[in-house]
Amino acid sequence: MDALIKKIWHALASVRLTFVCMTCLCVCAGIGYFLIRSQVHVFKPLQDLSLISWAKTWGLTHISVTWWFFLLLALLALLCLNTLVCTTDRVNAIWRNRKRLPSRTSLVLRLSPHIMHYSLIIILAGYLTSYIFANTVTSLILLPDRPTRVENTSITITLTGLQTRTYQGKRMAPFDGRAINATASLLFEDSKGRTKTAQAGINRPARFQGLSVHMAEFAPRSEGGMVRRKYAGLTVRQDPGIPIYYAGMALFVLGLIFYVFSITPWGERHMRGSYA
Amino acid sequence: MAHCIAALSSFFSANKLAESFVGLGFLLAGISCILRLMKWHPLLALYQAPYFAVWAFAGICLFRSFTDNRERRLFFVMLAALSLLALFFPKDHYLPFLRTRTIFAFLFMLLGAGARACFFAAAGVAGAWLISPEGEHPAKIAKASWRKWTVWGFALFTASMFSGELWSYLGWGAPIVWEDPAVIAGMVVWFYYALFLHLDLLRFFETHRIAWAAVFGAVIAFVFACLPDMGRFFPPTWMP
Repeated sequence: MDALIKKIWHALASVRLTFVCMTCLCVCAGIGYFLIRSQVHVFKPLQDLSLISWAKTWGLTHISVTWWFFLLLALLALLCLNTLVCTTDRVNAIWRNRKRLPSRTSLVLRLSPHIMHYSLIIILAGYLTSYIFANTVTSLILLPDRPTRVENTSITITLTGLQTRTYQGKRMAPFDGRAINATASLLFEDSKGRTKTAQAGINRPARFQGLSVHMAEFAPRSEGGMVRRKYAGLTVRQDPGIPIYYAGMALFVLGLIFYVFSITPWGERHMRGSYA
Repeated sequence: MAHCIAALSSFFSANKLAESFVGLGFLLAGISCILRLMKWHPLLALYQAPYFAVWAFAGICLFRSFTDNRERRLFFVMLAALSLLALFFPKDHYLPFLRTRTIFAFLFMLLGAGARACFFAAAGVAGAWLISPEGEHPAKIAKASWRKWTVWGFALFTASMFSGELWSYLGWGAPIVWEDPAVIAGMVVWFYYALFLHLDLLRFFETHRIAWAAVFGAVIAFVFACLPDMGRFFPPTWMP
């Protein structure tokens, strides 16, 4: 059994496997790009549906357009395993030989590519969590002062106010007299009577008990003309993947900064130990 | 036009004249880019990246010291070609939408444009080394140069993609906006350069093959990062 595990571990640690995986990923994503462009409506529901629901419906029905996506997922999974094994081996080797390195800076700089490798796995794990476990409610229309329950939760949201900012000027002629920003004042309430007031705007989501509320549409959008009823259209998401892929991204950026430093003359001196 | 004259001048070895025209082009492209940003501020018109990529690449051409005339010529021809393509195949006639009102939309576009310029610079260095007579330029110096440009391009491209993902979350609540296949196109470029860096750093291929891979990278960057931002042939106008 041990021999088998060692054999699998050894096979997964191959750098050749990394090259094959990455080449296949490039080709697969390249084909996918042209297929998405030709049939964008097949992939659009992925924004709201979970990966499994989408795969069972749109994915399998349009397999001639979506096959590359399933192949991409398999390749990403293989790349993750390969990266995990390769990186763990290398980090182990660096850690065992850390006393031979000239300084602590040298150790950090040597670890920088591996920080990026682990981060990539965390980011992909975050995406997978998001696409499997996220709940999305699209087009939740709120009218002023009417509490509306969010589907599959015990939370109600009330629109208590909607402030729009219209553009007054000639520089952006098509926007003259039209709204260029909007903020909805919201009152959240759960089944236990806990309440919170928050504001959600364009690119400014509001949060309440694990939910994030994104403004998707609103009215009125312009001054004058036909008077439209005031409303805010929201997208509500409960997404446990977000903190995971945000953490991965932050770690990746950290590793990238160290790596960029390591290729500067300063970094190269530190790596060689000739900085003194 | 200034970049085209610079490319022509470089063929007649009028290096000072060529560099002056690159400088003039850099200045004019910069003014044009700033005006484009100012016109729609605080919003951002889509598909502006080709202009900013030209500006960034002109900056590289202006401030980089070239090893010989061959390299200079190649860079200036690439700059002229990119400028003509950006000028005659614009796609920035769409009105900006409200969700572009965030710093992450601007970072997505600006960092992406910078990354493209770095990838083209890496391809330029590798291409010039490939066409130079064998032994004329040490492979070590050329290799270090294209590696540096690739690393910078990769870092900027990664930062651009992360900015895009943050924008996507803030605006739509989803990690990827599937209405626009730009993320998948970005993925091709990202994985290609990640593969390239691994091949280069682990010395998997000999220098010649790596140089060809750097040149091919420019083709990948053009097809998957530049072409999606370009439209049909359209005569240039004063303002988008």
